[in-house]
Amino acid sequence: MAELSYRKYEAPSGEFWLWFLQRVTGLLLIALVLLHGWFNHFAQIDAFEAGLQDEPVVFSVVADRLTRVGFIALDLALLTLVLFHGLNGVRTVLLEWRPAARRRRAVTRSLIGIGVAAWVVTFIALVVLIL
Amino acid sequence: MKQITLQILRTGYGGEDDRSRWERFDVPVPTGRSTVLDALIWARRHTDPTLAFRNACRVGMCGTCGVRVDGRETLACRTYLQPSETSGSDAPEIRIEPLRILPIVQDLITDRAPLHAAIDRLPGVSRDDEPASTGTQATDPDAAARDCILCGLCVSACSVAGLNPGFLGPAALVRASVALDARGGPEAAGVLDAVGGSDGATGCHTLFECTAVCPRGVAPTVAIQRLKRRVVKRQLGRLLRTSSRTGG
Amino acid sequence: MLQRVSGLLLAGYLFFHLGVINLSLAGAETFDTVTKWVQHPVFTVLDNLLIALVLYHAINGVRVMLLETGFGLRRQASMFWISIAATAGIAAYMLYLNIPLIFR
Ligand code: SF4
Ligand code: FES
Repeated sequence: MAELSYRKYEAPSGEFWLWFLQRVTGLLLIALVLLHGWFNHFAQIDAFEAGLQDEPVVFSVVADRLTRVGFIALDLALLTLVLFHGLNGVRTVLLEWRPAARRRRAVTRSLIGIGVAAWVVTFIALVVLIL
Repeated sequence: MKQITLQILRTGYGGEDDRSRWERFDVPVPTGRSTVLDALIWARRHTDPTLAFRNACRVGMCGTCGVRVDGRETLACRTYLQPSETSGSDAPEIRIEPLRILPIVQDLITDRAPLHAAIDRLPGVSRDDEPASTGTQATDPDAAARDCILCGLCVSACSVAGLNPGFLGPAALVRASVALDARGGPEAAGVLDAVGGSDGATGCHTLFECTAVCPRGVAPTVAIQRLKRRVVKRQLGRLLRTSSRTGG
Repeated sequence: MLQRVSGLLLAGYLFFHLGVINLSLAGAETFDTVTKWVQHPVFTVLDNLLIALVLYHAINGVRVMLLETGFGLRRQASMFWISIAATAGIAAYMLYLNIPLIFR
């Protein structure tokens, strides 16, 4: 019996998909982070230097941007992907230390909890601002 | 005669806390073609008959003499000594340790069972169907994978194997890759499912530590990246099939 | 291994960033206080570190993905140094852009 299960070893395919999605989200994040950095910092700094606004970062500009669907979608996508990529990365690092099976599940659950909580809190902050 | 000092990490002598300890051996080096293995044999014959190490072929074919020399995995029989004329405390010194990760039996002898156990975790891959050497590794990287002599140097050098005891390790993953080249169909699918997780090919961090030490030019890193691509293809294909079956 | 270190640092920063932004979005006044704060040169320097970290993580990630898809496996040493050079180059350019913000 032991011998049989030993040879029938199969990696859980969930692990594969997490690995695969880590790469996919990583690639998407490169594009999204570039956009994010551009709109939030460099575009405003340019405007500031051109004399269009009297501060490098202005609340009204940010608030105004957040009334547009494109920016809301960008921010939500960024939020979701970055949380997945970051927390999945942390999980990989933690699990490579090979904690006991019970602890592994606890690690996964608490990271999911943290991710969902952070997402909801930020989502609410966004919604409050938009309304 | 030229001389060299070996600092050898000795393990397995009981004692108070059964700890490993370094022991010093001064060994003459008769020719410029003397190897670490020659020096070990001299030390056992003339200094301490209990010094434990393993060897068989002496020409880099059997893979039993793997040790770490100055921290780097190597075959003792293929590592040449660089002695100098100075002797005594001025003689050049090298450190010889057993391989990592594999359990130590005595001194420089390590237990190779984990290498075999890892291969046994691959369904349908037998450690007995040792692929014959093709002698073409210079031109064909995939043929080179068949030249693996299961010496375990790559496993000892691998950071991922050092961290995660469940990791299949480069040697077994090379076997998986070779088996996939030789067979197709359901057997291949089984192998791919076995190497698909963080304990298998996708656990590899692409650090090239294994490739740097392999004495047979196998390049496990290359074989493992090919496995990753095959796993991706298989899992994507699976996903497409299930989604088309459910009409989605 | 540096990939995990930079990744973990970035994950830590992510939560700091989310927290600060969430707080600052409470209204125009809080937002202004926060932005005043982070315009301090110290933060600009830290921002440059952040940029370097993100760049390293992203470029190294691309390097690993290229290797995994089979590009440059036989020239991995030069792949590594190219990625390091690209990171250093872009980070230096960013620093150059930000120098007026640090010393003003
Ligand atoms: S791949 Fe190379 S280093 Fe690893 S066991 Fe085979 S021959 Fe030894
Ligand atoms: S003794 Fe056979 S490989 Fe060294």
